[in-house]
Amino acid sequence: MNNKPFLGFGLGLRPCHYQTIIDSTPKVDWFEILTEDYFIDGGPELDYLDEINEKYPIAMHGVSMSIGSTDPINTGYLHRLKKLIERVNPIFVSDHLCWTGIDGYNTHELLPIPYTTEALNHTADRIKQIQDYLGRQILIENASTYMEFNESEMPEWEFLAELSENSNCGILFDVNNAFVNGFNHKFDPLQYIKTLPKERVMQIHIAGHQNKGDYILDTHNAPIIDEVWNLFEKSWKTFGPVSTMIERDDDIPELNILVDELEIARKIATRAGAV
Amino acid sequence: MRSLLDIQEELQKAILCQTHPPKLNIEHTKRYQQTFLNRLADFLVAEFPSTNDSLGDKFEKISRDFILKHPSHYVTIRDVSLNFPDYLASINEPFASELAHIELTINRSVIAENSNPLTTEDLTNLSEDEWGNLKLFPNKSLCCHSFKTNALTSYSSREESGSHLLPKKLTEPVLCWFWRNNNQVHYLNFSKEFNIFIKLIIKNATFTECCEELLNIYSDENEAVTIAGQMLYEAINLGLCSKN
Ligand SMILES: [Fe+2]
Repeated sequence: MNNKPFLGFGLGLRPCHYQTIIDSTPKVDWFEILTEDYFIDGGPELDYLDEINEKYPIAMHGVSMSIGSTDPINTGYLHRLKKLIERVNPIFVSDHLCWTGIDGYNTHELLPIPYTTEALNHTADRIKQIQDYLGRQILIENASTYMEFNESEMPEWEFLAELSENSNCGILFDVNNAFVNGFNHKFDPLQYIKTLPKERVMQIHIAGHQNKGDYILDTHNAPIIDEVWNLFEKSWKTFGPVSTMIERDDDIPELNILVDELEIARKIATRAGAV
Repeated sequence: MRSLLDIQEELQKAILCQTHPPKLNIEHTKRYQQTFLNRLADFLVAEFPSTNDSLGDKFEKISRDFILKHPSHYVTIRDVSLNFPDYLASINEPFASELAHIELTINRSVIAENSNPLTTEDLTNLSEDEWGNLKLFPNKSLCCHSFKTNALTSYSSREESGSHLLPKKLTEPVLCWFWRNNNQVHYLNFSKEFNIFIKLIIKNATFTECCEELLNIYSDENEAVTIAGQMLYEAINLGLCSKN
């Protein structure tokens, strides 16, 4: 577990930036794709992906693995995932600590799970099965949530830490999601940084969000706020160099704006003394 | 204490049926109910801009009703659009349904399997036997739809001048073909004879079989062979044929 690949500072790969990336080869160390967007048979999107993949390392980030669902594992999904992994040869393959549906439905929402021993064993078991099928380790990300359950027996950071140990998966630590959940569920997000096993934190997400007053919605549609940058710095101080990327999924600006925001991440990481 | 399954059944029902179960916090449940509807409704707006434009204010309610009546079983959000045109037809919106068919078909063409296009050079040195046995294959993205309204001309009008035409029923249905060639999606309607020829390509007919079929229209054998040859070259030039 000690050899975690460090890719540097990356961005989410979005179609509106394809041509700019190819034309200008921006100062971005790697890109992360939304896995299910490339579950397609052909066409220009896959051509762009292949071309960009020749110049940059790629990570795959999914939203439909539904790792916490009580449904049987969706083998059709895993088959498509494996096929795309074979094409892209990604550095990381990740999804969220959540479920998206049961009884065959997909709400396309990252739904919260209760932090119980039952859910922990169930989810760890599924991660092991999926890793066996894919023949590689996957990373699980702490998701933003808007609801808690009385049934929970442990805090979410402990759940994720134990899950990673029990299933031998890596962790994608989303700093913004820790901040969002800290606000929504009234805890100190530093708990995450204090608790997650350092050697398992393989990747970091940072992003902007929308404060609705009584809760924060994880929208990925705005610049990163100072409190999240502070948490990011503390993460780097604790976890050491971790491949970091900015997620932006809505109100996506010109690529150079995001490259500038990535520069802030680089400076903070340098200040944290880890690079 | 509720099990993981109990909790998932309860929350999913609350989201898909937009109900407020007693054991869940109402305000917190609402957040998920809203993000669920908003995400999919925004997706439909992005996938069906022309249909949205035509339906105007009605689109939002229709799309939200659709999301609740046809919950997704798909792993990709992209596939949520698959049933939307038929849903519009089922609620008596035939013009909007056909517009949605156009937008869906164009979007699916963009992501269809790549073709290995058949070229006129591939035909230059064929012997007479090889011509006869030449098996035809369609462009992998090729598909068609039959239109009973003027949705197609209205769609083009909006693309060119920014506004739709008034919906109108056609006196007879028009078949339109959609396909991707050189990463551009094309949509065209052809003559009845050429429609027959393209359908033969889709059935992987040989060139001889195409000539035989055209003999039902053109009684002279030489004429049928000549026209089949002309049609094949036209189909190749349009990018409708694939090598396999
Ligand atoms: Fe994230």
